[in-house]
Amino acid sequence: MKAQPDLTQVEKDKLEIDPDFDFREIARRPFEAITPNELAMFKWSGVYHQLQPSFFMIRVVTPGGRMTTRQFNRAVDLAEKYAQNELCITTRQTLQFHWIRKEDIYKIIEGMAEVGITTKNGCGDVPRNIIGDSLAGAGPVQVGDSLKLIRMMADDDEIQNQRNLPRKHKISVASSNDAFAQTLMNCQGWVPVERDGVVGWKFHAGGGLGARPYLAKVVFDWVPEELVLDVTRAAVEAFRRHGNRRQRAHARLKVVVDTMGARKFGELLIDIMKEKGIEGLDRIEFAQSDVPTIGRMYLNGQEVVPQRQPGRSIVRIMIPRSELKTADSRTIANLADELGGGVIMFTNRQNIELHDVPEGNVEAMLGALHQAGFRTDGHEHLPDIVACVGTTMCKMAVSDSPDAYRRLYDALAHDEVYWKSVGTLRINITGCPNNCGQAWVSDIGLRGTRTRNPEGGSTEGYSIFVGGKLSEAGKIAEYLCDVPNDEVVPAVKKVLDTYLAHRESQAERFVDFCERIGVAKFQQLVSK
Amino acid sequence: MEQLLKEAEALIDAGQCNEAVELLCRQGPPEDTRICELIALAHHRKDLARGDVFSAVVFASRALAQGSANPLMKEIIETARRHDQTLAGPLDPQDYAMGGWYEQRPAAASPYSSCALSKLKGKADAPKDFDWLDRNIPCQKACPASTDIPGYLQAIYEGRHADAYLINLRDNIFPAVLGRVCARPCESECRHGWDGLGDPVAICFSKRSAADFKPQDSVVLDKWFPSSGKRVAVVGSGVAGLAAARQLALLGHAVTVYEKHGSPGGMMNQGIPVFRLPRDIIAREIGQVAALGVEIVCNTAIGRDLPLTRLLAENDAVVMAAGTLRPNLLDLPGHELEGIRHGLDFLLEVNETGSTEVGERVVVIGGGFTAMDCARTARRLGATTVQIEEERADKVAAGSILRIPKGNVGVWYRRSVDEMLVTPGELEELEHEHIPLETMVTPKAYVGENGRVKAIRFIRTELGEPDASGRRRPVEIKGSEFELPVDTVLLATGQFPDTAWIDEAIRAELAGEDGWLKSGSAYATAREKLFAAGDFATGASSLIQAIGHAKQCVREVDRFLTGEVRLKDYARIEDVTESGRIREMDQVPLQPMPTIGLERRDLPTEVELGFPEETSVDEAQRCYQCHYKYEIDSDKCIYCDWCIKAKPRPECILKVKTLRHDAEGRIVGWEIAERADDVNMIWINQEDCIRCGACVAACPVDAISIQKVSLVTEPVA
Repeated sequence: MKAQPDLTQVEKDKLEIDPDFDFREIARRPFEAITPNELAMFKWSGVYHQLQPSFFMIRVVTPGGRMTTRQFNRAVDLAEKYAQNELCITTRQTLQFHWIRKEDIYKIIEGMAEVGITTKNGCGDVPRNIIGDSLAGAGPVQVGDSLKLIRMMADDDEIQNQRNLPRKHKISVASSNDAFAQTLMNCQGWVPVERDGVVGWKFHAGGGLGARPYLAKVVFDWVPEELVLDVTRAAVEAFRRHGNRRQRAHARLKVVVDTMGARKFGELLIDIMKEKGIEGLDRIEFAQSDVPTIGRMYLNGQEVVPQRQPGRSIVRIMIPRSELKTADSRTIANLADELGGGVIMFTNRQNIELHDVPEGNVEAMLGALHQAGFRTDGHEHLPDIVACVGTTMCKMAVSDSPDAYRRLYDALAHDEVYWKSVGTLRINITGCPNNCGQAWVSDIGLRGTRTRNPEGGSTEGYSIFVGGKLSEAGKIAEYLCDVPNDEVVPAVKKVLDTYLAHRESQAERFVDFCERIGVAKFQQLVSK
Repeated sequence: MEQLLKEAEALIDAGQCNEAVELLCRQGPPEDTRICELIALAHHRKDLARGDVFSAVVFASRALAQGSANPLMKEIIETARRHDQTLAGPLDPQDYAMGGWYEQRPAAASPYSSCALSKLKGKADAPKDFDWLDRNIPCQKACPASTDIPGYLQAIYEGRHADAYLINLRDNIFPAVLGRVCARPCESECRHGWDGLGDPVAICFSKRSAADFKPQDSVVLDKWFPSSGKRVAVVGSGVAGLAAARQLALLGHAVTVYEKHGSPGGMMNQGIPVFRLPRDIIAREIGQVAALGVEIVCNTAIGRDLPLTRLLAENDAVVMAAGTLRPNLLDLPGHELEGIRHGLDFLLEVNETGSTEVGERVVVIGGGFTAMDCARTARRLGATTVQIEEERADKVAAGSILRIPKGNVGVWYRRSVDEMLVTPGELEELEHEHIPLETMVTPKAYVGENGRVKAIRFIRTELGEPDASGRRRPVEIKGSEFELPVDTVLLATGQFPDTAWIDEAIRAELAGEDGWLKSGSAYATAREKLFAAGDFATGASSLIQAIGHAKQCVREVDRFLTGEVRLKDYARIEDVTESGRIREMDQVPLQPMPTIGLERRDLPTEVELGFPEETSVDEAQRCYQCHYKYEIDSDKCIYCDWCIKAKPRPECILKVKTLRHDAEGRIVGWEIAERADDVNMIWINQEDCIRCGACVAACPVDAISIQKVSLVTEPVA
């Protein structure tokens, strides 16, 4: 008989291995007795085998990126004891522990569970940590209560118990029509719309980075708030049914939506909701056009943002390379308690915001932060660089992105005159094509690579991409050039100087400059 | 604690750095300064990639922060730091030539010696190109006629049986015949049959199915060249003679084939039993040769009816393809007794007359193709002495072997089963037809009575050292002699070329006293215009060997006739975007050949039924399609290792430091890189590649191309 496609090994594992491991039992089990298939399924509990064979990484789930200081302090305590004194902030607004021994995995999981933080669905083919914008609930431009929706989705069993999706599933909910919630690079992107005093939600679907990036399309122009959860569930279900389980590289919802088109995908969602007997579906409006119209970033370098709640402010702290050493974490937590509202927000640029700081405490807060060595300026500008862990701890990486981060930061982030002259600019560094570092959607994206040396061996380096953005219809950054790792600094400097020399005016942002001259011309300019 | 540190240090010294770290972490999360120092040291020593450098720095920093005075800790941190350089040149995009699966390559020379072939696309003919074909398409390399096996299996899989037949017809001239009786040197080389990869593809049976399911009209190939005006005579109409004639005709020469028997076909007709090869099959494929204008003159023995010298005088060239008709008769005491005959002579008689007298007990001596045919033929002869139960009688054919007592025909062979040169599956059929096989016995003498053989004396043997053929030599065991009663002895002990028919005037010039051609297996002989093809030159082999030899011989003849090389071999390189295979095809089991039951097995009825059409497609899908070449463009590759993580075989994708080449540019070896910085290429070792495509699916930057590389023989424009 002609051979029929069988389940891939990953798909078999998902059916055969219970993802809810008893990590106390795993702690007792000899490492050799854990199969590679089981090891891969640890991810469903947020546990990843690190590059270094004796250690694991654990990622927690913090919907919307919010933590109380009590929760954060617990993470800091655990990191001090089990994770070499360090926590990392991820681009999906949560925390990672590294250097965890197999014997200590359950201690982290249980310790965080005691303060109400789970690691379930931290990784794996599941709905991942739901993100939003860091200003959610507090920002002056808020249109819809995104935190409410995020909590609703994060608490919904029907969504969260989808443990066997074709691939990971990412949801973003924005508090206003603004690129800050990264709507266009998520599988589902919700953006609030106000009509005559009523808030409804615009639904985008099919965004995603990885090696083959797609930007989301608009599926519905209007979903009444009370139907948002149903549509979210239906989209997860549609993904479960239609994702390509045979080729992991083409499994994500982005491929489903791209293949089907936004209209057909919308019809599919309606059909799924009809199957479930959901009523009022005629109130959902299909998109007039599938091309998104996301607003530009409200955030643009502010150190302090006045909250919509009178008398309170958000104080923004830059965390170098997303790494939080225990001492620094404690300083931040103490300040959040003493001078702020006891709330910590992780941002998708791997920084921290302290919310609910009484207006009267802002100066003291800034002073204390600066005194402790923290920086509060440079956000959304050259110093605000994002980098993944790269080859330091990740098995997939090609290049040492933290190293590139440090060298770029050291060389360019302290020259205030220079970075201010450059203006709004996001540099993102990712160690491999998976693009955890989101290089595809930044002004300047560096992606790890190696280049063959004619005389032998190969050299670690970066491919440089330019002109990516998540506002308006979005844009995937375009390939400019390759550069060996030790020339990253002068190369980025040359790219920036080229922009400075050729921009129309100071008002022309880097991303607009890229769009105006086109990448071919840009290549010409730097190839001299 | 002291003990732990000591053990860890010893592990580090022994290069077992991961094990050392594991040990150091056993008692708790690493925090003790001395433990951190040793973890730093372990990673520092390992130093294969940036991850090791980083780990060393993390733990060295912690050790220092906790007051370590170990100078190495500072050094680790210091040496880990990278320093900015000035720009060495302009910022340029990567430049690459091969690209990935969706890219089109130019028909240009390959830019690097590491490239698998000398050209990126088109026709290539450098030594490395043919070397690639030889190593990568093992079935085609094993086929003496260089049949494009993956090409025709792909056609069958796609339901294009007629195309599959055409490919075979072009390459091996007698597809339907070989699809039944080929010696199948290809199957033992098939990549699917390599260690751990399952069973080889049923290549031969698939060939037959191509013939079975194509339209049953005559297929005549287009000639390569118009008429040359040259005349060539071919002596002998066996496969070698006819193959030579077909190729000569395609080249535009006028060919006459002379056959001493009443019908053409040689061993096909006279040696191979009808129950393995129906005669209409032979006739049809010989007809396709004749349809090209080849004249076949039967009942004309060169030497007896027409001297070779006259042929030479009247033709521009003569090809001798007279086969091996001189039997190797064992020179044993009693060899003159009646009832002892050579197997070929026996088969000829049965094939021409449909019967012969063999008596009750038949002993076949030998362990090759002829022995098998003799035994199975003899098994079908004889009286219907076995009574069949009444209710079954009407279902059992009159000549069925079920009506003949079993055990009366046996095969006796001096070595072990492993040394036998038989068609795969034949031993199983022997057993199925109740023909006992006795190995490790060698005949010593015939015992006669009234001038007729009545017994044969054997001695048992054991295997000694390998002989010239590479097979282990049988050594007699003293005192193990025994006698076996017998009515007929069939000697399947080989045969040699017979040169006695060559005119005496030139015989000495051409042949030695041993009767073999002096020119050996060469195509040209000592005499101008006179060539030799097939078994007549090489000695007894197989049909496919004879065809292969004849094809090559014709290329020499053509060069002699025209004074130029008019046919050329190339590696044809084509871009493709996918192979059409899915991995599950590798798990499809080998399809068995359906055969008729014993109740219908008689002399004229073909035993093998051939695959049903659907089965032929199922079987053909098993072929890995080794003509596909998966190759990484090292300039486009970003060295992410994702293909290595996805690879199915330990050796199919390698991180290489260097490739080794010979003087001709062929890739002959490699050196593996241990350190990340030493990896010069991530390289697909195509010899070990099973063409699964997992690497293409895994590659995030589409740096892996798929190309189809085929051996083509074309007229030179």
